[in-house]
Amino acid sequence: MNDEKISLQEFIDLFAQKANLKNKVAEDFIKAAVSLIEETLLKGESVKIKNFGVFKPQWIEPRKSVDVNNGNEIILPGSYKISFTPDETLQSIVNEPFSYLEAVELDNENANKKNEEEALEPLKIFSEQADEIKSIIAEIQSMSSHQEKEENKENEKKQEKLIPTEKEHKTAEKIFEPEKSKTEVIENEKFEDLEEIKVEKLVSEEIQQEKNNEVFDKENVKQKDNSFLEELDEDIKSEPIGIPFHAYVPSEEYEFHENTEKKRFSWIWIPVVLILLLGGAGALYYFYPPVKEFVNLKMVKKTPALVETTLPSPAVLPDTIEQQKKPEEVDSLQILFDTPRAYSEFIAKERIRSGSRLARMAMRYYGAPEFWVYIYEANRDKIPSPNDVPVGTLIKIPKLDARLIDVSNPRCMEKAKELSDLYLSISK
Amino acid sequence: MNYKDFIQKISAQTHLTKEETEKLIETATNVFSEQLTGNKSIGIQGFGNFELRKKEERIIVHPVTKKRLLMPPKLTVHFKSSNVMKEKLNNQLKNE
Repeated sequence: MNDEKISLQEFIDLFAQKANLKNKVAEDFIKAAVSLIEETLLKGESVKIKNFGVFKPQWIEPRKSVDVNNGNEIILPGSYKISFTPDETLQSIVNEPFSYLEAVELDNENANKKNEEEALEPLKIFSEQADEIKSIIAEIQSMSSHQEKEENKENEKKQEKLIPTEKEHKTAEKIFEPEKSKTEVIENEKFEDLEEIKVEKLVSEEIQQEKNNEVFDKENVKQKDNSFLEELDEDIKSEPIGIPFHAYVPSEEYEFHENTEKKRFSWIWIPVVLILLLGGAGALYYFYPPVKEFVNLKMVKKTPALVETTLPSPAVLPDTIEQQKKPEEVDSLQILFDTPRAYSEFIAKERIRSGSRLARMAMRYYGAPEFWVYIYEANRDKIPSPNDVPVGTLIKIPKLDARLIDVSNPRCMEKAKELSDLYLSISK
Repeated sequence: MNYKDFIQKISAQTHLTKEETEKLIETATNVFSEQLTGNKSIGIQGFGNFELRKKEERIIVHPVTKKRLLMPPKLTVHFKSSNVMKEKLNNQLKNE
């Protein structure tokens, strides 16, 4: 675990620097000390150096061993070795990174209790989380209720736009092939634009089109791309929170055809024809990939469209929920950042020794050195400046909201850095 | 030999006062521990190596109370004497 090895000479240089001695003097001094230790040890005596440790010659008894090469038992002769026992002060300085650890009792009873506690704690956490999630969802619902209304309006519009075209096509279809069923209707929808433009063509080439519809689709979309883009922009703007249009429409739309087609038929189709031309074109553009997929599927397998088309919606819905959730979370974080932190609970106390760093404590207690600012905040009365923490100060480590010191959340880190910049600039 | 004797002998060798010697030894040990905490090992030719080692956590049984304790990992200073030193020591002490 050693990064580097320094020789006695380097050590002497460092020592000379620290003690303001000439290198020569420092060298003589250290060498005198080392040789004195050596001599004393050679006499068979131990040497004790205050705050450092004890050197002691130690007799190792002769012991049996096995020759690795031939498996014969051999006796290792007894020998002397030098044992070094570090002094407590040196030990504690060196062990600073682990100094917060303590021996834990593992007695059977205690162990069981501990396990129970450990088992209970996650449960608590789960229930807390559940509560949090509930409240967040409630907030989202209350917030988005009016948005939903708008969405619904939007929805209805789209549906209105779509259905009459459906009707048109259906009627057109009925003239030629009245026996075609629901799947046909759905398919028509995909061609609606085609049909809008080339009804006559469609009528005459019904069967051919079914084979070539892919080609047609592509062509049409390409042709109309430019005009669509404008409409698209409008559509996107009018949608309140960026829920993808296809997220809700595919399923609802098709259900709609099945269930309420006839009811709506009577009262919508005349007034909406104009809007429908524009909206229908836009909708087709949105649907283009799924439509293509569907058509392909139908060409190959002749499977009903419903299965295929209803699939996307559940997959996309969680996404939309997440999208709504994220800003919410961030907002609560922002609130957390903005409210002045009150430090009432403390998890530990630390006495500042020479070499102690707030950042190191933060690393130990919170998992990242950046969070030293919170320790500083909690102990501002005792620390004049974050760069100069007086040795011997008793510092309290505050208990922090877990969301505030989420190492994985870049916002937390940003906030901590912001704060540290602030405090460092103040102290200057 | 205790610390007092140690200081006395060094001060005699280096013609410094005891106070000065004590101070210098103190700074020396400080520099020493600083280097060790900086994860650097210190080698003294003809004497030995000092290095920082991590002792892994382990379970011990308290001999009196028979309680099982989990000892946390810790860092200690480990000293390994050089072979030269060891030979010298053995020659010297075994001959006596």
